[in-house]
Amino acid sequence: MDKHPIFVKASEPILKDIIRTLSQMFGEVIVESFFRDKVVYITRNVKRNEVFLVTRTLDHVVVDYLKGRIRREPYSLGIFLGQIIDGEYRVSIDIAEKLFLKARRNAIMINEHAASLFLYGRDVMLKSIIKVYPPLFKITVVINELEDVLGLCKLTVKPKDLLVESRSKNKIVCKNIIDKGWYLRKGH
Amino acid sequence: MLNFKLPFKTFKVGLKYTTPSFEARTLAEKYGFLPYMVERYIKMFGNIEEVEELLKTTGKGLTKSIRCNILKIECNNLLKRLKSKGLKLKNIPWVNTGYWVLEGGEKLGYLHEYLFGYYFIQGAPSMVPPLELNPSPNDVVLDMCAAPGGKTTHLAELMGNKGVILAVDISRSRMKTLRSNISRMGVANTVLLKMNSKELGNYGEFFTKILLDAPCTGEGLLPIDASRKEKTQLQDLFKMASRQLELLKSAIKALKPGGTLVYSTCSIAPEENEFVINEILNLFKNVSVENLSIISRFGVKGFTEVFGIRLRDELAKCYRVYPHKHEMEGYFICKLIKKG
Repeated sequence: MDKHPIFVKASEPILKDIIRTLSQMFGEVIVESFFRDKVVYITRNVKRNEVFLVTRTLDHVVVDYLKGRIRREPYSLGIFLGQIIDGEYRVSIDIAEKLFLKARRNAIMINEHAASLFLYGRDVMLKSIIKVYPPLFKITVVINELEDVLGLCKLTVKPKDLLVESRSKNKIVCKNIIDKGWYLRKGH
Repeated sequence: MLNFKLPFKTFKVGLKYTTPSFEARTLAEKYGFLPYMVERYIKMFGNIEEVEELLKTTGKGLTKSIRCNILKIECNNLLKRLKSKGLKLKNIPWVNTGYWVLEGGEKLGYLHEYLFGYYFIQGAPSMVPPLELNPSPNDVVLDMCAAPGGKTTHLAELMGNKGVILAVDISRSRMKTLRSNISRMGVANTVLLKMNSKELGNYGEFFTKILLDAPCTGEGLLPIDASRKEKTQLQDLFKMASRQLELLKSAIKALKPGGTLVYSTCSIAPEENEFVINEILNLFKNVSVENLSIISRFGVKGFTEVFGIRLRDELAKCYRVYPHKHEMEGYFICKLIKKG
């Protein structure tokens, strides 16, 4: 069983890994601007290390009040960036949504029927995709026809193959990683 | 012989007022209430007809309401979407982003717009405390009993997702719900802390604004939870008041001079509301009651005398909401200022 997590500032290599992954997904300029003047925390003392993005003001409260005065660790803070599992950064929906809304790239739009299924944990078939927001990364944002963010999926084909008509329309082209139905099914 | 101590030390609260009269026992039997509760209602309202109106609201249900989350969507857009899904909504006059759900309320927890964090399902009176606290992006706000996060997310919205909210709750399971709601609603300016808020008073003055939506007996929830009519024994009521008092003392100690504190409960029991505030005003000479600007438009003034007990005049600045008068859950709100 995990002990209570301890929140520490993320090391430079972890920070670089997070920024590199997010930049590949949403572009360097937008990611750097979003991360400017912010601090990344990581949980230690636990199997799955969670990462969080916080403003300087929030950081001040954590350092001076929580850790300084009352000597407690937070339960969570700021924006949940995702997890580091086996040394690899796994993006959260929370940050992906915020960055997609700024970048409008690295997303696939799926039809209404597929959107409902995706919110129940189902994968995306080629025939469900109605628009692509290039450039696509291996982990891509899934949106519905109104551009609401539904979750994240992992492409199982090359991005250019999404546009090839000859492929089987029922082929699964993107595997559900996490969707917003998760809030109801499980939650944090 | 009572096996509990009364929490109020600065003014006399005898318990004779809770002894049920014949009328109270008759009404209690008719509506399935604990007799002491009905006796208190008779003394609070002063007439049997009004008491009966209140008792009749039990289990009747209330019109559901939602708060549109402007951190994620424009309310007009949300209204259009929900209308297309068969919901009929009406603006709550005193909350720009609040809506009564006149039709389709049963769908609220299942719609995609809910999953996307475009609204929070919340009782209309619960939308008032954050508005009365009126936090700005420069504030350091403490939300003392934060889960499940309706008011925390509302505070974040009012602050434009800037500044800081320290959202505290004692329960691990409720903390999980709080975190999920913070995430769903796109809130970025919170630090969540699992601890007993009554300890926070030991660590000095730090916060510019504090919201204490205190745990309570839920006597105001009669319309949506009929079990409340026989759930709270007299000793439970005073134990709850004792807990509320401890939390409020802690809040006053953690508040910076010049800071504002909003105290609220979903109870209509004076013991959990006016009595608690009265005790605080007697104990802390640097605390005063401030006028409320939202609930005062429709609510009823707080008691300055009830059950034959004279309370401080400032309590008339606190406000109450009743199920039978306002067709909402019963609620109490009071705003305090800590002088510099």
